[in-house]
Parts: sequence; C-alpha cells; structure tokens
Amino acid sequence: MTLNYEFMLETFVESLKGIPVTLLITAISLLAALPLGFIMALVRDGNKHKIAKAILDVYASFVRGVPMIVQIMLMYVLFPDILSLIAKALHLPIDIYGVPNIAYAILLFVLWTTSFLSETFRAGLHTVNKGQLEAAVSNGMTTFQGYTRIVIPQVLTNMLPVLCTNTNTLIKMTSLCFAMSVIEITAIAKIAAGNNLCYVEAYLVTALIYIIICFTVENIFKFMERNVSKKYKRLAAG
Amino acid sequence: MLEVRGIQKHFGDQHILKGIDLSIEKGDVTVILGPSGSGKTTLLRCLNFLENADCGEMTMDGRKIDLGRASAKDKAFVKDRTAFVFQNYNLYNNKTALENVTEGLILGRHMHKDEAIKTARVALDKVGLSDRENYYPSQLSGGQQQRVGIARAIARNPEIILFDEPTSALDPELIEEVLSVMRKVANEGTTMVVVTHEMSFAENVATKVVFMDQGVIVEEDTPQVIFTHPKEERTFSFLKNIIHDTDYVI
Repeated sequence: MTLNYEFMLETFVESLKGIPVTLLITAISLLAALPLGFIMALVRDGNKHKIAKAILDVYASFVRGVPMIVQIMLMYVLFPDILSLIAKALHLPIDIYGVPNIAYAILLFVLWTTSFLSETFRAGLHTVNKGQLEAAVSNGMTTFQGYTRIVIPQVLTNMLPVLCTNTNTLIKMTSLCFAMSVIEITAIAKIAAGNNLCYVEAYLVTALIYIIICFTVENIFKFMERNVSKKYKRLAAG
Repeated sequence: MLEVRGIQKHFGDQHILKGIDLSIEKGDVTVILGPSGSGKTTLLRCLNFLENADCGEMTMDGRKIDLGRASAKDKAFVKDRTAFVFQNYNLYNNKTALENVTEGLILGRHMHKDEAIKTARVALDKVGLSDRENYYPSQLSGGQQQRVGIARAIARNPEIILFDEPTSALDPELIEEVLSVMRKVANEGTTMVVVTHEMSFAENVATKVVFMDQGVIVEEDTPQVIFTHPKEERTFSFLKNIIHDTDYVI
C-alpha cells in the first residue's frame, strides 16, 4: 500500500484551519465548567440542597452512562425541535433552526464538561481537610472566601494531573462534533477523505494533529505543576 | 464576659450536651477536662458557632443570643470576638506562616495589608517563629504549625481564645513548646478556654477547672480544689486514671 503524501500534506494544512474551532469549544467548555463543576461538586457532596442534589446525581449518571455520540445526536436532532416547540408556544419570533450548529456543540460540551469535572472536583475536595475551611470561617472569612482563597486553590493544585487528562479527553471528544456538522479538525479531514477517497491518509493526519495538540497541552500542565511545586518547596532547604 | 446557659446539642440520636451552664470572666483560664465523648470539644465548638447548638442562651459583652435561633449577625458578633485553635492546627496549606495570620485580618477585619503584616509579625514573634514567616505549613513541624495556629488566633486580638486539644496531635517532645507559648499568652491576661489532657497545664496555669462527663458539667472549681479535693466520685476516678502517680492526687 502506498500513501498519497501530497494529499496528506494538503489535508494537514487544511485541517489546521479546524484548530480554532476545536480550541474554541474546548476553551469555552473549560472556562464555564470550572466554576459550574465546582458548584455541582459542592451540591452533590453536601447535604443542604436535597432536590438539586438528586437532580444533579441523575444528570451525572446520564452524562456518564450515555455514549457521547448519542448525546450529540440528541442535542443536534431533538433539542432544536424542543426549543422551537417552546418558542412557538410562547410566540417568540426566534428562528431556532437558524442557530449555528457550533452553538449546540458548545452548549453540549459545557454541560458534559461540567459533569465530568464535577467528579474530579469531588475527589479533589476530599484532598483538602475540612478544618481549613472551618479555620477560615472562624478567622472572619466568609464561606465563599474560604473556598476561593483556601480550598479551591489547593483542589486545583492537587488535581492538576487529573485536570490535564480531563482537558485532553475533552479535546479528543470534540472530534465527534463532525457528527453535528461542526467544521472542526476531524470534519475537515473527513470531507477531504471523502472527496479524494484517501481515508487512511486523512485519519493519519487527524491523529497527528490531535497528538500535537494534546502533547502541547500536556506540557503546559507539566509546566504548571513544576511551578506550583517549586513555589511550595522554594524554602524547604532554607 | 461570656456566659452560656442550658446549651443542648444532639448529633442524630446522640445527646451530646445535656444543658451546659458556664460563665467566663475576663482573664480566666478555664480548662475543661473529661473523658473522650464527654462533649468537651462540642461545647467549645458551640461557643464559636463551628457547631450550632440546638438550644441555649449566650450572653457576650451584654448581647443576648438565643443559640437555637442565632442570626448571621449574632454569629459574626461572636466570631469576631473569639478565636479558635484547632487540634490539627488547620493551617491553610497553600499559604505561608505569615499569610496564614494575615489572611483573616485582611479579609475578615478589612485591615490594610501593611498593617496586617505588621500585626502578624508581632504575633509570630510572640510564638517564637519570626524566622519561619515564609515557610509553608508542610515545611514546619507539628509544634511549629500549632504555634502558627496560636499566632493566627492572637493576631486577631480576640476577647477569648478557645483551644481545642491543642497538643493532642503532637509528638511528646513537641508538646512543651506549644504549652510554653500558651502559658505566655495566659500570663498576658488573655482569656482562654482550653480543652486539654495536659494535667500540668490545668494545674499550674488554669484559674478554673471544669470537669465534664456524658454531656454535663460534673464539677467546677479552682485547680487546687479539683486536683486535691474533688467533691465528685467521677472526677476523682477520672483524675486517678489519668495521673498514674496517685499520691499526687489527694
């Protein structure tokens, strides 16, 4: 078997144009899911908001239990129909079907990442002893300040390796967005593959691009880990 | 200064505090003794609203508070006038010794940063840790961590400092450095309530010893009386068990 190298190079360059879309979905999902995931973790771990907790538990099971591709199809096929029914019922002059697909993709991935990260944060919250929050509150801080100044920085630090894996998982998951006609890396390669009947080449190129992205992300996280541990060990020798 | 009446607390079916009356005067060093499970720690935590009592009444600086229905303002009032030293120090692990002290001053007291640092340095000096202000808790020994915990408490200049078994988590050779800091704080006239098993501290530093068992105060008196002529049989048998040198008691 010979590979069409010329096609591979062309597709590689062409697919790079999908990176902004991939990174946009990833970045918005992460930025939104960081606070939302924390709130979800706190509600699910706490005992105060029983109804919210029950709903979020079901939601977490749904996100964990339903394959991503099925979730994407539900969001892409079913959700706009529901929205347009609601819009019609409320006589809202909105063209639901005019909403760009990427909006649905972002919404889905924000929801997915929130649930995904909430599990990470739940584990992370257990790495910080509750006494520190008590100390913060008895020292005059509000509970919110206790979380944002004391607990959450430690959770993020302790969970950096897991967050790295989470981020890479998210990036790779966005490749399924081609199924909802969002033109990102995978979609561009797939279209090129179909036009030229060069599937193997296209998938190899796609794999290469994702490896490069994920490798970069991994190193960014490694850099952060090093910096954090340096900060805590800076004076250990002194 | 601080007076509580009829504090009751349940955890589920367990009746932990069965009506506690306690009054603390300015400058008192009150030591609470008692077997584990007697409710000492719970009582201390209720005084600072780390735990909410089921019912009871508190009077602090003339402010009357119904403990069963304390408002957020009531709690803030009490928290602002008390400080808590924890059994496992509970230092903020992501903050240096200095930041552990300043954090509450800046956020809780709205103190200016420079002033907070100045206050914190005085407090760290008092506990003998001036040279460790930039160390993170993980770089400090247990005794040093607890001293930072005490510095964090005294820096707030509270009316009462509540100590919850401050030396129980420490290696024996580290206990003394913490006790000597506590003695120093006591000698400066700070009002303290201390839950501890350190009998020497109770005997030599306390102005009042309270013996608790099964959620009630069995007996309270000066250390001289408690350690030499306890009136209650339960106090006597507890002390006898704890202080092996029985000649010492009575």
